[in-house]
Amino acid sequence: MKLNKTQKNVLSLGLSLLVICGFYFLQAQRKKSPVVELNLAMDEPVISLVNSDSTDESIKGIEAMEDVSVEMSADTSFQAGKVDSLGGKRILLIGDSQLEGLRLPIYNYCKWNNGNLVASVVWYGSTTKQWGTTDTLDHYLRKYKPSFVFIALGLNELFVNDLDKRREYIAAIKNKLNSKGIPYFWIGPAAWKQDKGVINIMAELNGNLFIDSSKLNLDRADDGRHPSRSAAWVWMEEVAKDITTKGIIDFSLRGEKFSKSKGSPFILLSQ
Amino acid sequence: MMNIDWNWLSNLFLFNKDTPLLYHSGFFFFIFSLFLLVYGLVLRKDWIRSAVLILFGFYFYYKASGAYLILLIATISGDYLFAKWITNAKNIVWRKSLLVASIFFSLSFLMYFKYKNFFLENINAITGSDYSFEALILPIGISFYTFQSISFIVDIYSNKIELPKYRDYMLYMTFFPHLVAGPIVRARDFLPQLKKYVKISVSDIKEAAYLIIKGFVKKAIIGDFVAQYSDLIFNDPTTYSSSEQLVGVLSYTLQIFCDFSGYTDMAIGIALLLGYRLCANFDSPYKSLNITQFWRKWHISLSSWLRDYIYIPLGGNRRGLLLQLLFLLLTMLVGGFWHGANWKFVFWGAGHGMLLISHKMIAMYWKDNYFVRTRVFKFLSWFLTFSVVALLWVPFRANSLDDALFIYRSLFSGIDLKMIYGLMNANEELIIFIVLGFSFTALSVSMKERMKSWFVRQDFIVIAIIFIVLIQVMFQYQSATVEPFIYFQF
Repeated sequence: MKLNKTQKNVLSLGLSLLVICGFYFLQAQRKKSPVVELNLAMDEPVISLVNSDSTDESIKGIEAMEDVSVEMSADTSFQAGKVDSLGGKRILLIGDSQLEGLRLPIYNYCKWNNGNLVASVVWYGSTTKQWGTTDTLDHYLRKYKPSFVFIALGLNELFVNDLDKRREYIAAIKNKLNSKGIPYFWIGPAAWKQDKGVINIMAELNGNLFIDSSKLNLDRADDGRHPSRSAAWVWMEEVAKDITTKGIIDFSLRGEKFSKSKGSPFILLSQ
Repeated sequence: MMNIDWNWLSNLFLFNKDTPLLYHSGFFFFIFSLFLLVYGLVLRKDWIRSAVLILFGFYFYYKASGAYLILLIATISGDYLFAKWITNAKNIVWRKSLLVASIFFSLSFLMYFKYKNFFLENINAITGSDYSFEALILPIGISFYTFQSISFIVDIYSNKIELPKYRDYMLYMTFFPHLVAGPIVRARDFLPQLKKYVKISVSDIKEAAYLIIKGFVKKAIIGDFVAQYSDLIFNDPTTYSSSEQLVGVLSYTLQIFCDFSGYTDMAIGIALLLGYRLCANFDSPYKSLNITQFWRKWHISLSSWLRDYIYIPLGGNRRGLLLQLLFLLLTMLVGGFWHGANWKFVFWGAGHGMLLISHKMIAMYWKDNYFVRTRVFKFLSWFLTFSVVALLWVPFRANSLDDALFIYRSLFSGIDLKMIYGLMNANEELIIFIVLGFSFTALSVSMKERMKSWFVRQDFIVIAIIFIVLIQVMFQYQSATVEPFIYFQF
């Protein structure tokens, strides 16, 4: 078949574009990025993955903040019902920026109750959309094989109006865990003002496995939005009581406070 | 054996309203490169080339709107029948009746899908009735292709164009670069190109690459980055200070220009790669010195459509000043309502209508004034025009008219400059993007021409490197998902 100049130009262009697409596709495969297998490589967000061994200054900063001194009473008087013991359980914590404050209290509560916080994955600025529509959660479930997952998510979508979509995303997150038979507990967003309905959807879809944190009266950090470091301990105490009372997991024991979460990686995902 | 993820594949290739084919997505580039390989092989044969373009247009539309593809084909076919009847009709009354019926036919779908619930809501509010709403999903691009088909029918009626072949009309309507978000291409501009031999030179490809890359930078890098901030502010303005709201308004002002003009640049570039030229849709609108000039430079295909098919047929400037001003207001109200079934768009249209009227009046009295020609006046005029345009984007973007009014109250109750300083420190990247973005919009025509001619002189390898570098920059700054174009919703 004889081609004219225009045809040759168009075909060369098509081939060149195909090569560029192939290049990005292969690059994405090599990276084995934990996010978005639904999309092609060029649709993926850039992710910086950092673990707790990193010397990254931001991590140091976060760990330094964990040294905040908080007076915790060894509240051993709290009586729980007959519930599943945490003994030996591998706990995974995932969510948005609220994890910065919650991580250390959760680490402590896990330790006190003979559990093990295997990792905390914070995805800054994330919503249920990112966790529900990408394979990030699947990736970390595969990686850490948790026997229990804490989700602290929703602070970035308090004022969204696309509630039907949010329902789908929340259901998708739930299905990811249910399909693998991994129990979970959803810590609702610590809203600083009335949301537009997403919290009700979280409560409706998760039932007993949800705590509505917006009802708690928590001190706020300087940004006025996130709970302060000390409030995060109060918050976790409420979560522990709730989860124990509901008979999901026994979080009744209290002990000496650890100021660092040694051996528990803190993974930061940023957009 | 290799595991094939059918779910992933079907999500990728089949209809999914959340993943239309966006020009700046990886999947579009992939599918478009495959399309080019087929197109390159068949482009010498007229009918096969048209068939391939039409089929790709169908797929492009199906990917975004699914079964509404049938509605699109039905609308196109119905319009063509009307056009044929009008052409064959000898009696003037019959011709006119067919024209009116045809316009009603085209508008009926738009009215049903876009405006039905709005009218019901307002009837309920006024009469206290309780009509229930239907959960209607808006077919993508319906406002664009409806206006396009109306202009075609009116041009046929007024003998400005001849009735084309059905195949050519189908291609004109479904030509994918303009299908879902314009520009609103006139049949008289596009159809003659179908009769010409398709020739795509190396310089055409480079010019197209320039337009696509320019659009890509505007949309995927600048627009999508500042969108993250404006979304934050507009989704809940009550939780932000007036300084933050001001930056949010500026972000959106930049975002909507970068988003829409970026889309148009890419659409024009892609069309050029296929051997067709689409009309320009923007001409540095934020450099306008008055609001009339702004509307000659902003969304040109829509504003000229409104002028030719609403303002002039209403009477234009032929029926005295008072009526002319009324027609202006009516035209802009239609323009506002065209954007969406919501009072906020009516408010936006009315605002622009009032501004156009004010400018016309002022210009009449001031046209001979020496001060008008001074640089100070020109600067003040530009500043005022830019400010009112930016302020009118508030109702356009806000989630409700109440939110828009809240932002206005907040902005006009005073802005704490100390807060702006803190805000700039806390959002350095955003401020850099805003400053750079607006600087690009202020580039002179000669500077733009120089950039273009420099680009076109480069080898393909340099162009490919520029493209790849920009993709990396996009990865660096993009939000978590590929953001759809704002004008897809209209």
